[in-house]
Amino acid sequence: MSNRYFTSRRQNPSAKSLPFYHLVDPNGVLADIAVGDLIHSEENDVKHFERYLDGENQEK
Amino acid sequence: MSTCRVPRNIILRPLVRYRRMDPTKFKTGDLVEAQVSFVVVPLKGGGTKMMMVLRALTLLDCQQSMVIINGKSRIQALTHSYLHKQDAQREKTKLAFMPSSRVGTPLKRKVGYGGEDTAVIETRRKFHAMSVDEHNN
Repeated sequence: MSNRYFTSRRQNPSAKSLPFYHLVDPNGVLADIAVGDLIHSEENDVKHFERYLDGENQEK
Repeated sequence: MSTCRVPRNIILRPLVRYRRMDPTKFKTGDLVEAQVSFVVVPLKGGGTKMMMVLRALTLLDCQQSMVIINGKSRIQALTHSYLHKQDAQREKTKLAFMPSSRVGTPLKRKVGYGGEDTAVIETRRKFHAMSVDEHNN
């Protein structure tokens, strides 16, 4: 079983650990949970994008 | 005379680009694009199970949610000028009963089909009552 943050290492032994994107986990809270059986891998990495037009204001 | 004529549409069309975004910037009413994977996993009993896994979410257009946010501040500004001379208690009461104050409330959508319209339920009940089954009649 997995969600959009973690996979069980036991159920997916070949999964490679990925660091959390800094905007997803700004305070490192999720990274602290990813110990033991829980692993954050490519399978449950959700990327968040925004579409913009070149030359538009850089809103941050 | 050496005028270089470049097709206008090439110059004027802005390039669409994508950049990583803070996930908390998604608001209700945004137009988004979701990229999903269909993953099939084996089950203990021998069968398989297909799951839809969210891989990426892209904000395409936030104009609709911007209308909500702008509308909210506009209503607040209007009520403030209108009720400027009223005391705070009356302002509070009026704001609660003003029909336009509903515009400022964020959109809420129900996921799934739990709370169906009474019209839908009523129609379904009527269909049942028609008993179109030929074997019974």
